[in-house]
Amino acid sequence: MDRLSIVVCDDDPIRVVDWADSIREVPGVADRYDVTPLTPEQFVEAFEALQTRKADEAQDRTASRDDKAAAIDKAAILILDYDLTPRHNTAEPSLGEVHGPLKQLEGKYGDTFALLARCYSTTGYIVLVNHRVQTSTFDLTMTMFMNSISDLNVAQPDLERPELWLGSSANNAGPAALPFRPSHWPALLDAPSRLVDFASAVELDQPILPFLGIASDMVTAFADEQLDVFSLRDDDDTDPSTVTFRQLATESAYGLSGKSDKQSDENILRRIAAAGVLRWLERVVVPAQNVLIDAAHLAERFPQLIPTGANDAETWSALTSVAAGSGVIEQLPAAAEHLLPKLSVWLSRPVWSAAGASRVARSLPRLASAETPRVFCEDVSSFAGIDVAQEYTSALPGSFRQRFVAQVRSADVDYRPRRRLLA
Amino acid sequence: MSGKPAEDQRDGLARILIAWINRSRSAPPGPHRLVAAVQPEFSVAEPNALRQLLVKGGPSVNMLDRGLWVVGEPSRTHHPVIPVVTAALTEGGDAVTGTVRVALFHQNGETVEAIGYRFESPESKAGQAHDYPHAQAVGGWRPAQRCLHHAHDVGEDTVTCRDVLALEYGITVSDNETTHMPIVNEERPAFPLAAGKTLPGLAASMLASVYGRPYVVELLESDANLRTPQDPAVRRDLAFVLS
Repeated sequence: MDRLSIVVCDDDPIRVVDWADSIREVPGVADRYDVTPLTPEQFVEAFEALQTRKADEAQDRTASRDDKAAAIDKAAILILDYDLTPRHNTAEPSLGEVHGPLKQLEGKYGDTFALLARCYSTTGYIVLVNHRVQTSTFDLTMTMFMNSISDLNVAQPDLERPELWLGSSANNAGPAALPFRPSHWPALLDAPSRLVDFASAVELDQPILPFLGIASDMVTAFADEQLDVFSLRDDDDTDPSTVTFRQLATESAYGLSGKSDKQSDENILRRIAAAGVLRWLERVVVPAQNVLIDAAHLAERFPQLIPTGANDAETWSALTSVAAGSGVIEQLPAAAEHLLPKLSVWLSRPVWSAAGASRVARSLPRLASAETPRVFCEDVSSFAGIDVAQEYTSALPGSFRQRFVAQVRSADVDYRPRRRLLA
Repeated sequence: MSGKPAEDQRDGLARILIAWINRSRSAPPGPHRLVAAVQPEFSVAEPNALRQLLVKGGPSVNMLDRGLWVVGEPSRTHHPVIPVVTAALTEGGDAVTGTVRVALFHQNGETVEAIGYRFESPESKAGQAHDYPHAQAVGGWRPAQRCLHHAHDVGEDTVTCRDVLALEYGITVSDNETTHMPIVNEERPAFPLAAGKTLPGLAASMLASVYGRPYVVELLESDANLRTPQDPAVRRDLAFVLS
């Protein structure tokens, strides 16, 4: 069986190799993945091949799969730089002019390539690098990449962080010393298989929300902006509960981008729909914690759900992991009946119905308030006492905008926009 | 939370109102005619400005002076009401007292009407009748503001309390004079409140009276500081909601 592949793409021949090398050095990556940098020339050829596939599909011609985009088809994880315009050679002015095939990348951006790859290849999980931020940045709005076409947005230094790939933090020295691990990061090593599993399960003509186990009473709990994804190109009044995976893939902003764009391959359509639904859930729904809630936020809101009590530091720590097999679900047995089992397999973390789990929690005795309450720090995915964490107001939809970070100044992470921090 | 009782109470009041603003912004808007009549009338407080005013605005603060209001989501009732709220507080030493005023706008056929109440801290002077947290009716907020107790047109013609007094009761009110509607007794009755010895308690009482207790539970749960108040007096006041 072929090993899984991480394909790295950029216009810069040196940087693309550097990125591939640094990814390969992250513990655990090389055990499971081959890391392959595409040369800029190969990248341009792949770009052209995807554009040809798009044109073929638009004219109802069967697009060839035996072309220069084959490496993109096989990528389990596609790492893409955002700014693809080739750098002029400033060290050697005589060589300054960009010429040859690379000239085609001038003015191009990674999100264009990401959309082509998503809609016209069988590529896996797409990571867009250096879009809007070039240094590790904690986005205090928590909405910066809500509508991105890629499955994840990070800055280049993040690619070297084991926490991004593994979904847990090894350091137990306390929240202020914990490494950067924003709460929306998945365990990247596990992300491709979840996408593939979900795409395999998708039935294109099934309505999405019932398929996911999101019942009608949960739909009414969404904030309006959380349902914008279900606004279709030609039928803006569609009831969100009736929108199918096929409609999402072909008629929404989360799928094929143009009215004349087509995709005849149902496997790719399933993947477009699956990736779109996962992006919506991971970026718009779960972070708001208003309809679906994850273990960390559920325990923060209702510490009485922890059966061993609020002083059990080990349990609090266990609740923060998104690594596969971390046993998070077992830590909150009282809420078990409100776990959403399908979503908990396909998403980067288990999730519960917020309303259902809250009802259960309210029926349990509240804990004595002598203890300083613990709050979840979104920048390091760990808990801290409310007296040491820094509060901020996110721009997330719904009622749960108050959030916390462990740090506000760090040598290697920017926190923006700072006016959202509570003075 | 600061550990200083007055500051903690002011912070708690701000947190409850901000949690309410955030929740209301995500809620369905309610009947169009009612919303169209109410929302343009009030400049809605932004959370940051509200926090600055209520927590750090000096020893005596009145949202009315800044023209700041909170327009809440409509009640989910057969006849929806839209609550519009202002608050004021006075701090002296460790003590802080306040009032939360709410107008409940509702639609009555072609017109929009309102009734108003103020939720107040105990009267502090010795021998005063209402030395307990209480709620009383109010007739209006200011001269030249829309009258709360008279049906007025939804359209372009603004009918003020002063107009109503002049036209219907023959009373002339100057701009500087507080309007008292003769059809409302603002002093009696003064209903005792289960909570209200603290500012967060007053705000929670007002919200529970409009939306019901479960709504307030959810609001308090949305803020870590309100879920488990560290100030004992605030904790006692909010216990009627949370326990």
